[in-house]
Amino acid sequence: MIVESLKEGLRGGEREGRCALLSASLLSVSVYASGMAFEISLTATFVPLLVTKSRSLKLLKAFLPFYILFAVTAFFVGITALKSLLAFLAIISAGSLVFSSQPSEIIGALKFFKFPEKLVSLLQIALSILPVIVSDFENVKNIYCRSYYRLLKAFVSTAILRAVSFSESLYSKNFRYKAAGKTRKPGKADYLLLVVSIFVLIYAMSLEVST
Amino acid sequence: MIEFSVKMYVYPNGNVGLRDFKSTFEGCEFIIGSTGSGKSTILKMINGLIPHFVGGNLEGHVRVFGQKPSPEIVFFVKQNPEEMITSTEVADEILFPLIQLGVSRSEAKKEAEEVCEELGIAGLLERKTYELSTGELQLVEIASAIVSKAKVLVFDEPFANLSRKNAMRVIRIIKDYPHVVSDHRLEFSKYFERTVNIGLEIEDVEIPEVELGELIYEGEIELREGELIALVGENGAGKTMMLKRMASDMRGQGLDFSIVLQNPSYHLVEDSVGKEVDSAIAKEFGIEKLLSRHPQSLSGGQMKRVAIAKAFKSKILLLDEPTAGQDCNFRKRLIYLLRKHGKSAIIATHDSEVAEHCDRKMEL
Repeated sequence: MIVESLKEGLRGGEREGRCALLSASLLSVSVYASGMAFEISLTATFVPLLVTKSRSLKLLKAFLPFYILFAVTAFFVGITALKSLLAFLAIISAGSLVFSSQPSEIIGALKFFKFPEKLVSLLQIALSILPVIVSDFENVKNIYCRSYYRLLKAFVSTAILRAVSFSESLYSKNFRYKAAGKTRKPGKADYLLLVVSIFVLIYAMSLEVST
Repeated sequence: MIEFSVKMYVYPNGNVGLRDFKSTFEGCEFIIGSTGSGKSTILKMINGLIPHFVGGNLEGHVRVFGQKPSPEIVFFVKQNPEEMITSTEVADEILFPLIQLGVSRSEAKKEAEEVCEELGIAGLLERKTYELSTGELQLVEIASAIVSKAKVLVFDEPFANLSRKNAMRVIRIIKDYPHVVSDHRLEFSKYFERTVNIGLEIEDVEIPEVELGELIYEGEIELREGELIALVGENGAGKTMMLKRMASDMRGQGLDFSIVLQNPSYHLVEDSVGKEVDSAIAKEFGIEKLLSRHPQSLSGGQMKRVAIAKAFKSKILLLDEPTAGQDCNFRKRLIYLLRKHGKSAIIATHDSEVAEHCDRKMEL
């Protein structure tokens, strides 16, 4: 379930890259700026759910084991752990906004915001490898469904071989740390997302100031 | 154009990759050889992967247009297209080499679209790379090579995952560019100006007749005891998906079966070939010399052979492109061994010779 959720969650969407990236950053900063306030964490979780038409829920599902861990901790530690759990959910959910856009638009957005091209190109490669690794995991899981030890061995050795092969391919393709991204004019929904994110951040900061 | 004067090349792990190889390639060569004979080593030397990236000790030299081998002048397309992916979108994947040269995205996209039209894959441009079948991905990587503006295009088994129709289309297009191709599908050698043989001797194997037994599997396909069924179809027709569905169905029915997917490393989990395969089967598969080796240190073709040999412990075999990366002798040997051991198998393949030897073909 985790693997399928991750793969589905990583499928690109319709949002404009720059708006998606900015909104994801603003919502994440809001959670931190508000000192993990409940209302901000909940807003930062639900805004992406609305924008991605519940697709971010799939990405959230992929991190289920971590929530269980937080929930168990919360049972013993109390309110602080519960706050951390919600903040964790909010940050994953806000991050999933990045995947509500096409990967090439996110690359375009990073270039637009003058991130170093070397970093952007490596991010592009990492994003492209992820589905291959996920698909390897699915294949290995289907073969060794009854033996966790063998599954792990096969997956790890496959991943190592894949890493070596990918690096050979980058050499063969004359990789010079250049990335190709695209940008387009944002739509009304993209601007609306940005405005909501800015409001959340302002409210989060006002909460922090008032306390 | 490409000059080889190699006395010996030794891989970093101590294995000899190539010995006494002197030749000159003019740019329309078809290299054949047995599995593990050093074809991939030769190809990797042309773009400098060996020794500049892989390491090891090379005695001798290779020159391409009088220059040292480099990825700037030679584009190398690997055997497994999944391992060439550098973008999540097909369009970006094809124009990746041009972007590395500093060409603008819009200009690069125009060139990529033209090549895709020629290759008949324009319909793939809006797709995701991870949604494509291996064959479709192979075509995308070939398009990327053509777009790259490299002086020489080098292909390691480009036809292994392609239907005959797509392979012929690729041959027609690469003819306009200097190229070196290595492949086991010898039927395509006549379309190249020169065939370079790295020690391949064609064996004659007599395949025994087998009488089919009772029905042992009833699902999407009915399979009888000792029956060999070929699943054939164009790239992206869904052969691999069908094999996976049948594997899941057979697992549910509690049948004794093994599936061998295109990536053999999924199937090899022990630290030596000897622990994966028993020595009698290893001898029949011609891998007895590899028994002490670590499976992950073998070439792609050798790994696949070990994975198939390992699957022989089961009564029913589901094989996905088992002859990709295997020399022509292994094609007949595989059918011979399946018949000899009375195995029932469903084989997804583009290899017409393998399909011909099966009891029946099922086209998707």
